[in-house]
Amino acid sequence: MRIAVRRELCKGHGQCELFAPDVFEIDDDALVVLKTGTVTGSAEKDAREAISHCPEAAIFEETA
Amino acid sequence: MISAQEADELTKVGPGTATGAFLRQFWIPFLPSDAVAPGGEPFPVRLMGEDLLAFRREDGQVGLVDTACAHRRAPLLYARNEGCGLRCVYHGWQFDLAGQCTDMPAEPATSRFKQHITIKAYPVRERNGVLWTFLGADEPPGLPDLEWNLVPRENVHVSFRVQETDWLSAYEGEIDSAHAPILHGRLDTTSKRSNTMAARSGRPIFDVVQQDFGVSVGARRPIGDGGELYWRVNQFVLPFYTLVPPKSAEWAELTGHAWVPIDDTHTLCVGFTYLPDRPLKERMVDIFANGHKGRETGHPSRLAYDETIPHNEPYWRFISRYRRATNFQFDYELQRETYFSGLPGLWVQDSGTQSGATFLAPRSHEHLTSSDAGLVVARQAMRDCVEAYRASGELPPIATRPDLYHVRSVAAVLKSDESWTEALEGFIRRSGGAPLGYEVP
Repeated sequence: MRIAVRRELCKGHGQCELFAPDVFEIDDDALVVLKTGTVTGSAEKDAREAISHCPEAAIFEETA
Repeated sequence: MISAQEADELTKVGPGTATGAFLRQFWIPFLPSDAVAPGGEPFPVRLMGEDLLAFRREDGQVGLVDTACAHRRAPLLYARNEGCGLRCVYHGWQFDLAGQCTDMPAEPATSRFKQHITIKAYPVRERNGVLWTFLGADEPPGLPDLEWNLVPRENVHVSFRVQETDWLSAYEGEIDSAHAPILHGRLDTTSKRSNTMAARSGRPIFDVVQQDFGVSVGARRPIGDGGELYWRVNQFVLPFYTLVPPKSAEWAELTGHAWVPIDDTHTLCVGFTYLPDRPLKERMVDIFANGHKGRETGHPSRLAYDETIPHNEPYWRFISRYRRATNFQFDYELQRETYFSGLPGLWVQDSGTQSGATFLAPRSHEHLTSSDAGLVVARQAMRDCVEAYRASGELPPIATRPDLYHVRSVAAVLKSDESWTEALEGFIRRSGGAPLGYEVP
C-alpha cells in the first residue's frame, strides 16, 4: 500500500508514530513526517491503525 | 445628541461588538493584588463578556487565562496552581502564563502534541496593589499615568465591588453630579454649614468642555451676593474613569472610579480616594474599611461583601450584600429619620438607583434635563470614539499616550467674571504627587 500525509492538517497528536513508528515520525516542529511512502507485509496493519487513529485525518492511504 | 438606542449600543461590550473593540484598546484595572495569593486558588473574573481566571504563581507572577482546559473543556477553576502555571485536574494538562500547554502526562513521553496547544491568555501588569490587563490583539501601550495608582500606598484607598448595571449607566451616575445633595442627603445633619456648603445644595449650572483626555464638566453655584461662584469640575477620562473634586478643606481628598465593564449588565466599580502629597487620615481609612456606625460610606466596607457567594461566580469576592437579591437592604423607616433615600449608605444609594430594583429600564424611558448636559456630551464623545475606531481604526491620543492621564478634578471659588477653564487649567493638569496648589473651599 502507498501512504501519503497532509502536513498542513497535522496538529502533532503523535498517534501515527505510536502505532506505526516505522512509517511515521514526529519532527522537531511536532508535525508528521513520512519515513516511507510504501508499506508492505505486516507493517500495513500498523499503518492502517495509525490512519484510523489520526484525529485530524492528516494521513491516508493513496488509492490511485 | 445621540439617540437612546445608540447610547444603549455603547453598553454592548462583548467580543465582536464595536464598543467592546474600542474598549479593548485600553489597559483595564481588574483586581486588587491580594485577590490572588502565591500558589493559591485561581480567581474567576469576567471582563467585557469574557470569562477568565486570574492566578498567581508561586514565584509571584500573575496570569489571566481561559476558564476551560483545551483538552476536554474541564474547568480550570479547579486546576492545581503549581510550577509554571495551572494544571487541569482532569488529565493533568498544564498551561503557563502565556497559555502555552507545557505538559500532558497521559500522552506518550515522546509526544510533542503540547507544542500546538494553547489557551487564551492576556498580559497582566501589577502596580501599587492593582492588577491590570489588556484585552487587545496588538502590542499594548504603557500603563496609564493615573495618579491614584502612582502615589504611595498609604496615600490612597482603593476598593472593588460588583454592580448590577451596564458600565455606561454606572459611569453616567458619576457624571450626573446634580443627584449628590439629593440622593445622598441626610435628615439628621445638625452641624453648621458654611456658605460654600450651603451653596452646594442649590441648583448648579453646567458648562461642558471636550478635552484631549475626555470631557470636563464644570458645575457652578453662586455664593452669597453672587459676586463669586463655587465651581466643581468633574473629569471624565477615556475610556471609563471619573474624577470627583475634594469636598472641603478638611476632607481634601481626590476621589473617583474606574467603571470596568464585566459584561453588558454588570460593572466592576473600582473606587479610589487619595491625597496626592500625603497619607490619608487613619480615621478616614478606618471608616472606609469598616463602615460608619454600621452604615456603608463612599467605599464598600469589609462587612459589605456577601461571604456566601460560591467561588465559581465571576468576581465572587466582590459581590456585596447590597444588591437586587437583597433589595439593597432598603428600609422605608430610614427615609423618615436618617437618609433621604432610605438606602443604607453612600455607595449603596448610587448602586441601588443605577441598577434598578428588579431591572434597569432601557434609555428610551429617559427624559434628560439641563443638569444632564455633561452626560449628553460624554455619551457623544464615547460614540464618536467608538465609531472612529470601527470605521478606520483611529484611536484618540490618550489610547497611546500614558501622560495624557495627568488630570485632576478641581473645586474652587472664582470671581463671577473669571473663566474657569483658564483659571483652573494649571490645577487640572497638575499630577505626579504635587500638592493641590490651592485652598479647597
